[in-house]
Amino acid sequence: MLDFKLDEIEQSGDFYTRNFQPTPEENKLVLNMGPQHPSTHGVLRIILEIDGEYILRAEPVLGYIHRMQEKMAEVKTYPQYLPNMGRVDYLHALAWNWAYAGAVEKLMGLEVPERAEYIRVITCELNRINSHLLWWGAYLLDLGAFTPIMYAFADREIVMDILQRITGSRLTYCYYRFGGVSADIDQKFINDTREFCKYMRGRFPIYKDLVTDNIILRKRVEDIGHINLETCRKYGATGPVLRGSGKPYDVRRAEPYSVYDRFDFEIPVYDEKDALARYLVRMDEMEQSLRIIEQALDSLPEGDYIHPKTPKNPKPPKGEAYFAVEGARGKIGVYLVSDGSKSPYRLKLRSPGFSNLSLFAEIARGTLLADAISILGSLDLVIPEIDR
Amino acid sequence: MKNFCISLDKLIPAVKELDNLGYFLEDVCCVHVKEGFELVYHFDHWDNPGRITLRTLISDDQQAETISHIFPGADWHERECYDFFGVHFKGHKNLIPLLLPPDLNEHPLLKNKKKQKELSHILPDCECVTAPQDEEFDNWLNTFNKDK
Amino acid sequence: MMVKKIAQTLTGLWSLVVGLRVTGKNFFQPQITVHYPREKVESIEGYRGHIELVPKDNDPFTARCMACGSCARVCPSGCITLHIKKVTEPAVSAKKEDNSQKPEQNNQKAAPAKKTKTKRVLEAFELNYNYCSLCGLCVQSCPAGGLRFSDNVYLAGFSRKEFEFDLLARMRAQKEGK
Repeated sequence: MLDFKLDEIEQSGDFYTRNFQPTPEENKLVLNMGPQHPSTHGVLRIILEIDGEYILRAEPVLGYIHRMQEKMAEVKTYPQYLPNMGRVDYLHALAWNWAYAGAVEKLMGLEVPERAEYIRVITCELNRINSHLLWWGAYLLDLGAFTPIMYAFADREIVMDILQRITGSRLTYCYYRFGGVSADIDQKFINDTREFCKYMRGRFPIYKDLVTDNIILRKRVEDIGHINLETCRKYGATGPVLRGSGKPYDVRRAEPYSVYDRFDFEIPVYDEKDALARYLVRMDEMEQSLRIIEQALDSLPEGDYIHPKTPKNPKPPKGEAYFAVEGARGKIGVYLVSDGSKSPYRLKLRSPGFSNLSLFAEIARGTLLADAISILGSLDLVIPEIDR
Repeated sequence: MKNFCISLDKLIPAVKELDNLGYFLEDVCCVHVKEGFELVYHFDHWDNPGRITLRTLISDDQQAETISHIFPGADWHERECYDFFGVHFKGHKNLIPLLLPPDLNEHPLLKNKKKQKELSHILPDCECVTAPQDEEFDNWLNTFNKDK
Repeated sequence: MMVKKIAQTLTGLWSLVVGLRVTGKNFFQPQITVHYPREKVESIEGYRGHIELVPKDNDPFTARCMACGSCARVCPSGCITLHIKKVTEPAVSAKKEDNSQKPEQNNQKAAPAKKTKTKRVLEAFELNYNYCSLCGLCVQSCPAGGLRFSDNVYLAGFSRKEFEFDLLARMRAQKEGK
């Protein structure tokens, strides 16, 4: 005998579950995936209404790691907010560093020395490779393959050692400053990076043999999670999600910031629109990042690594600035409104993951539960970035 | 970079026009000022990049119009604005807290009277926001269509 | 149709063999992980531990710090507290240090004040490492170059109290230890 009443079950669930489905339907199950599900990468929760193994409706619930980054900006001075950016997206921290520093520089009209721009490009691209490597390992972990993440971590370790020597940290970088970077790079960094580029090129065929061509992976990602261009546009999806749907849109090309217009690189695009296309875009992007790094190392100019006249306590003039960079997950935007005081009046962080996840509810409809995991993984979600 | 200040009732048609032209929504952002809430919509285009900013001003007790039926991606952005500022979006289908806990009855990004600034303090050319110039957007639209 | 299916299955199976070959190759490679308590990583160059005070070149027991407090002001988390003692020295002692400055002071200040000079002396430099995010803004902001990062990778403790340091005492203790 069951020792609880049926109407008690109907009353159960929290605010979001009740809002999702006030009255349970027959033969339908409401399932909470997360917030402690391994494939949700931390603390994402998705309420699913399923019929058998098919998803009828999905609704992501956010906010489990919300830290009110935007409020923090308003109570701190401009330099004091710099370390926060490393924590917004811990995988591609340098891109967020760049977006914030860039917005402040744009508003102040502060010029960044050429050498600093090159250092920024090199470190940011190294960080992008790192981010994609971790995504690669974690995605395959979601799909049930344990070994690849070990390969990914072994390679990540090299990049982290290289970046640690210069930036001092391994993950949550706080390296970019207004008007440049906090430390110069040296010959050892250049040699190590060159060596890494060579080494990494040799790793891609191994990845291809081990994982990409693997029939089991192919069956899990091919023809799954189709996102057409119209959906991408309506939801504002950017980055590899968009490029996997066949649109070569990359902020580095579309609105070139810094010195990106000087480098020769391709924007990988796949037309298949499925999870495999997004997978392949990221794999190709790593190779393109290596190309950019090598070109930047070849043409690295001498000079200052930070603008010598950077004010210690910057007070940007009244006004607003929007600065966008291409992160590992898409278009990162920082919208800054200043009232001329020493802390921002309003700072809005546009995170690519936020927009990319918002289309999940639409594309998950009608798919198998197991495929939903594959789709989620292929969107490359970093929850701290989405929740901010 | 294009900047248009439009009145609230002109917002929906303008967003529809941008939708027809193939723009995508970057974000919806809210700024609390003395005059009320300044809503800033950022749009961009894949094939001919150039940010379009639509801004509109609503007073403290006024409701905004939702654009989530045109751009479903605005759904979450508007919920976020509701979370942080308590701005209501008329016609939004699911205006429940997104990032903040549902039982929190506060809107953390609201500024108190002392900290509020006038629009002129944060925007050098703010006259257009307080006195919207809808024709400017129409003119731009016409030239844009002509170029095509 | 049938032939195609069989061919697909065979290539699929072959892909598994190819993958296993990679695994097999790596199986015979030397181990790349380090078993921590028994072995230690050597490449910790550039590691940023908590900050420490830099002693003066000529006097290892005095910090370069001139107690201006700019590090405490710039710190995003408010980890740094300076305990400063204001020492009022009679001008006599200053006389022997610098005689040329005296007439200037005479011109600028009122008569009785000119005899004394206040000096800020650092008594303790308190760092609450629990809240530090290692951004390095304090090191950069120091006008005297009086701060740097320590390199103790293996710092660990059981309670929060163990991460509240007095850096001045720490610097002196280190010097005495050597």
